Amino acid sequence: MEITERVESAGFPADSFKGVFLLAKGRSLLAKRNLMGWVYVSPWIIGFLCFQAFPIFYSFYISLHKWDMLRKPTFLGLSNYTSLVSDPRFLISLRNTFLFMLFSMGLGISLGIFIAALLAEKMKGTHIYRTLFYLPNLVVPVAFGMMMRPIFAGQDYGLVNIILSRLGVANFQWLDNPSTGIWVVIITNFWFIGACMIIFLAGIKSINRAYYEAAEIDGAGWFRRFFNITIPLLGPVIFFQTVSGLIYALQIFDIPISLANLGGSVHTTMGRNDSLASLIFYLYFLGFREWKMGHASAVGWVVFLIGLLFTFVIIWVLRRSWYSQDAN
Amino acid sequence: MTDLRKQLEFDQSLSELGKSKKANWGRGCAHLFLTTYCILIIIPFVWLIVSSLKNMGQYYNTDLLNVWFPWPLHFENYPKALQTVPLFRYLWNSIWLATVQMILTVISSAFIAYGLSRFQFKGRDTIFIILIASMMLPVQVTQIPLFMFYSKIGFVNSFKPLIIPQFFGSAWYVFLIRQFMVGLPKDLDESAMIDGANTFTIFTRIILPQTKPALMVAGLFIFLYSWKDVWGPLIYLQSGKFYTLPLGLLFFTGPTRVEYTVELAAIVIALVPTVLLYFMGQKYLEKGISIADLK
Amino acid sequence: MRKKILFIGLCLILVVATSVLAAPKVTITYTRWAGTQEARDFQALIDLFMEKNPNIKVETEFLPWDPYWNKLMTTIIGRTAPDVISFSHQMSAQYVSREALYDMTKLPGVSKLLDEMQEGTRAAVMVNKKIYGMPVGAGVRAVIYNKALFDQAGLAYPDNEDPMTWDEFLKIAEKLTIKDKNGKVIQYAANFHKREMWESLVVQAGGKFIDDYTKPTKILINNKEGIAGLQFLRTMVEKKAIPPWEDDWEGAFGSPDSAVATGKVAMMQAGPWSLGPLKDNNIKFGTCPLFMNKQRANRGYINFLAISRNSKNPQAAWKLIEWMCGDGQLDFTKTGDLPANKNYLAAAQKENPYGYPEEVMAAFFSELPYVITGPMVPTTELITLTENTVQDLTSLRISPSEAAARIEEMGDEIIANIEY
Repeated sequence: MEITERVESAGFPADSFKGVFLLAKGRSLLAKRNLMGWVYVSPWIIGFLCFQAFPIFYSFYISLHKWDMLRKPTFLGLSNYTSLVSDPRFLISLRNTFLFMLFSMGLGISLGIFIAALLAEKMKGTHIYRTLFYLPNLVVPVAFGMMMRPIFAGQDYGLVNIILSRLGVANFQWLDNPSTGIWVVIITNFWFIGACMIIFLAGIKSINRAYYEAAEIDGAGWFRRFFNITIPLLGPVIFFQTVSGLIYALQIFDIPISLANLGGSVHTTMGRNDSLASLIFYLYFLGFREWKMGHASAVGWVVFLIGLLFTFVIIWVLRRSWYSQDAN
Repeated sequence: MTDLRKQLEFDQSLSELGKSKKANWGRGCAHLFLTTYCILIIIPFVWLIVSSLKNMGQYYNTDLLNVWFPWPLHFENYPKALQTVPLFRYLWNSIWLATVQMILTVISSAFIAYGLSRFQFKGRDTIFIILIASMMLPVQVTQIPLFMFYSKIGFVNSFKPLIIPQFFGSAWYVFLIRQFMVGLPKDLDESAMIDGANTFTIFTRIILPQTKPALMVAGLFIFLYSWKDVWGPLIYLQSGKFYTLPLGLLFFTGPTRVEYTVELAAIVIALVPTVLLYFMGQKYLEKGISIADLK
Repeated sequence: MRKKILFIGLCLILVVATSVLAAPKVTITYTRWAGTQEARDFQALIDLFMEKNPNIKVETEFLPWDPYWNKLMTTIIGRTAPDVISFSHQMSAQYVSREALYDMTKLPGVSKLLDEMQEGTRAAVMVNKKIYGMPVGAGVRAVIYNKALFDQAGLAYPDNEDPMTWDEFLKIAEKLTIKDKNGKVIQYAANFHKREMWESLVVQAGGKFIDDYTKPTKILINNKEGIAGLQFLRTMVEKKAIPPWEDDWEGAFGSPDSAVATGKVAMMQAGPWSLGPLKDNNIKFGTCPLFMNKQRANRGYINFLAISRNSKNPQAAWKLIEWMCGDGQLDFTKTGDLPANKNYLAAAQKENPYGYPEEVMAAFFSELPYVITGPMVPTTELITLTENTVQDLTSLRISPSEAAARIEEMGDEIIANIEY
């Protein structure tokens, strides 16, 4: 404990009278100081209690009922939850969302770190690269759907179809087919890699240059340095990105709904034939299109529980990166 | 004498490292990869700008040449876009709302993150876990109860529901900033503590400057998220004069008067200030990061 | 001194008197979906109302179609909805059937005004013998055609008030659909709203989709007439008179509301709202009614006004509605809808406030009596079923009898489970 060291280095052995006194004083000061932590955390606690606690409990209460938001709720017990097991739309949403999570998290984070590491070097043009990579994150959701149309459109003018037709494959309705819809979502998600990249970039820039210089002297090449210094020291940031990547993927909604809006003005399915279904899209659909808020809340809570489960797994697997490895 | 020679040899070896074939080849590959990715990213933007200069007839024409290289170009879409909707007023609304949200959220979140990273108190980790858990619950689930709550206390039709919660930090940003703070070495804290500084001074003089990169990134994200947000302004801002930019952009769609090309022009117009702000913010970000390096 | 007190007293009395006698100013809010031009038109209408009613102030809010309904849902749920709400029958059933609006039955003059409305418009606003809204206008579709393309094909223009038959349509469609040397279609005869037209075809063939629009009990489409109607839709696709399902919205041939504006489609079935872009693109157009078979029918839209449950000024709100659906109908028509009120139909056609020549508007007025609305039930499952089935039909994956059978089987189940 640092206090003991300090007291001893000041010349007061720990078992001497003055030493013990100073130790006690130090400890109580530290304890008092630690209590200050509560003060700093209090705004979040207040905010949580005011703006989140009530809606959270209320939404669980609602998930046990049938409620169309206009009339009185009717109690259902757990049937909103049990009905999900045999609900085809829920199962499609589940499959799509898991597929999305798998690809966007694994590939996305690795790519993000890799690109960030590349751009952290002093190279010609990093400025331009950085702006370009981040550019897609600046567009409004409405714009996103429109901009993806000329690429993924099902007819012959879609870029993807054009490329495929050169290779001899027929036109394909990417967005309308239930088995391929989610792949469009997965691929277009890589357009947004900039957001992930910027966080890692900030993290890399925070790493002390000295580590890299020492490694260079030892003759380590770029990849060695990448795997032995960058990644370990990015521990806390990687943990952050993994958890937030998980949340983002689990709750993916903006991309599917912007793509679904491309055809017709009243959407009665989640993309044609439910091709773009995702868990939260289904939640939105149930609640705001079919007025089944109880059912929607149940889906929301299932998503919540899945998220908790995965997070605990991640916390356990990456538990060493809660705190960064200093020195070494 | 030997030290100097060692120094010279060391310098030489370093410069050799830089000049080695392997390094150049690697550099070339990196550029190739980055450029390819960037080209893929830009393609939709090219389409956006090119199509904003079409008229509706050209928009529906699907000959490849016409989709990417239309002629003639219809620049009048731009003044049309500005006339259709008071874009500048919406722009102003968006800017000040995003700025307010950014400043409030960054400050409050950093404040809270400090508490979570630099103090050891019972229940700290529990709170951290609850914080992360609170991000798990989809926002759509709490939207309706929250909306009813706001309407009961009369917050609707004002900016209040969009601003007041920002005083209390936002879980995602608290998490982000906390992770950065946790990576900072403790020595400076401790020496300051010994010198009798109180927690707040340590917060402002020592911790904050070191987390500049994280704060910049958080600020950037908050600003842009606020900028793009449609749902919040849609349900909480009733009067037209409050509308923000993404809300204003919706005015070009609907079952009647489907003028996609003018809408695209409006989207480009809306994109310009965002890109400019990002560009300026980037330079600032660079400065902030290098100051942190100086220490 | 006394004079001073008297003077002050007199002033006080004057002030109190004027504030008591002055009519109290009431403020109400009005909302409707509108693009920017429509917003201007409706604002002018509201301004006119305020001129005639100086003690009522109306604040307006206009939003485009999609956000309008999203927001309306939130405000009705949160009980902060505007006093006067505009509805389209397609989106209103969910609210009306749940009795989420103000019950207007007891307000003075409501029943009388409702009687003045056209027959087909009343069903949308009544539930359990209570009145929840007042019809104000009808959105009618008629066929709009590109004169130049007809000239090129050597065809005479269709009559603007008498509809042609199915066979006549197929004949001219043959000449209007043009293919290039590879067999790819470069011009279509028509681009119709397949999602909605199928029901009109069923009715035109003498059949019926469903027994009742607001409280259905049985699907009636699975018979000879119903199948004939569906068959015609499929025939049009087979003969390439209209584009296949995938291309009917946002494809190279525009949408059912904008097809003719692309210059690549000869006919579309749209409302007066689609004429503007045609003018802008210098396309010479004409209008005519939709074709017919045993009878005429076409899918249109009934728009009506309602008062929100949480309104604090229902009487003032009613005043606005009463005017717009009654004395103000002719002014209302300037915004583009045809009037819902029978008494003003003839006048509207004569005075023609629409901005297009009389012979153009004649087709819309001719179609008005044959408008069908389609079911108005609080669930979207029925629409999903019919859309998916029609999609399969027009993608040539199933036959009309299979389509009819599927709609009947699954539709009956959906209807049986509707909770009102």
